Amino acid sequence: MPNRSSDRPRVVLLVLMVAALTLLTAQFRDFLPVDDFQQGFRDVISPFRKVVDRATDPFQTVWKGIFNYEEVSDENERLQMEIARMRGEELRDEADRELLERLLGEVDIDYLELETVVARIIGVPGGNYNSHVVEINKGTDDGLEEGAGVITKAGLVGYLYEVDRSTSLVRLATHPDFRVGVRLINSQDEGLARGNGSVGVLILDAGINIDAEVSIGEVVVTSGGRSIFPQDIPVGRVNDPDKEADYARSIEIDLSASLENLSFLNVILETREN
Amino acid sequence: MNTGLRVLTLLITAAILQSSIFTEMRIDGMGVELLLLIAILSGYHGGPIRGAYVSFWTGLVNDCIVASPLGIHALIYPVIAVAVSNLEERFINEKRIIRAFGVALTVATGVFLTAAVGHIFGEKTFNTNSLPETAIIAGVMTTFFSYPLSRIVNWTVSSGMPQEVKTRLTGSSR
Repeated sequence: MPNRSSDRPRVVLLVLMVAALTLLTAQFRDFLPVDDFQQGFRDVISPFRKVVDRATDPFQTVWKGIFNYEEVSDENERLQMEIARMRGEELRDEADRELLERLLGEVDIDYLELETVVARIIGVPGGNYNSHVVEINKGTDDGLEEGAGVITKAGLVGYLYEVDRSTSLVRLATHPDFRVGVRLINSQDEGLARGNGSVGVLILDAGINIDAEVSIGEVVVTSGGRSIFPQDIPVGRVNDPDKEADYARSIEIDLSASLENLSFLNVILETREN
Repeated sequence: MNTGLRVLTLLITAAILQSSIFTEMRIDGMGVELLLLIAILSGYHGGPIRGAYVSFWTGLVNDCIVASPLGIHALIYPVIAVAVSNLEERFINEKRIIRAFGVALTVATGVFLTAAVGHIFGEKTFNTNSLPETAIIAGVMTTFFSYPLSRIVNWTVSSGMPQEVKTRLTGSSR
């Protein structure tokens, strides 16, 4: 006679696994308000998170001081060098500004004029899987929408993929799921670039002809069109044009915005169809 | 306080801690898997059935706070809880260091399994470049919290369960 009591855990486990798979299917097929449930949960715990964050701030500072000392020290050095460089460039910039404005006008680049919301990075999401994602302190209450492009003065950063009431998650351009239409300034060739999980690098491997003339250091900007990003946002410079490719080019682009040292971001308010 | 309310309180508190202080407490980018630890301990203290239910809800809460597709963690955690529950008898009399090693190993396995299932569902977020390193560091860091949390989870999931029967043989007089 079979032992029913020993079978029960297996039945329960099976039922729970079916329930989890049903939820996953519901989310991927968009037929249940699963996203709303997740956002609602995060919204409910958000005020408590802020309280705990404030209460444990001294402890967090000590922790970072112990375990991230080298990182902080490197950043400090980098910032000092940056300040020195900026001071030196200040006078030259003044003279160049007029020239820059004239050039931007000639190529119709007006990304600095975009209507944006400034947001501060407050951290990364919990868990050990969300690399290439950062959390910002603005959400739907500030007029942000899912899919909005995120930039800095240096150029492309990523886009919003989860927007709660007071916080949002930004998927950075280096994330493996990130795609953006780009244009090479010299050749005016357009293609699709993607993140590949490497720090500071985008790969342009779709839409570019095998015999296209691409040079090292060539400036890459967004191509606009149906993309969520308006056109002419600086993306970066070509680092490896992959001229030796036989069948398909895989051009490496160094991002102009340093995604590892971000503090503040600009979220573009005018979202477009993806 | 009934078990449901205790579990709800524990999960919400854990969610708040995981998404606040434990997000900042990282070594080389890797952090504590508090909710995975609750799933493991609920299997250890609550038995296979109660452990499976509690860990399912724990997985759903984790899916909410890390913004992964709802169900990925909930698919893995009950399996881990039931496995831990089946192994519990073998570990209960072992030295503390052995049990701690067991917790670290289970956390690392959980991290691997979650990444594997995420990969199967096409979630590239789960595709970490240094998965073995992540699993080991997360396992070790999480184990440090297992002792205090074990008592809390025991109190949470054991309510209403039959008490352990203690028998003692006192020499020849039975």
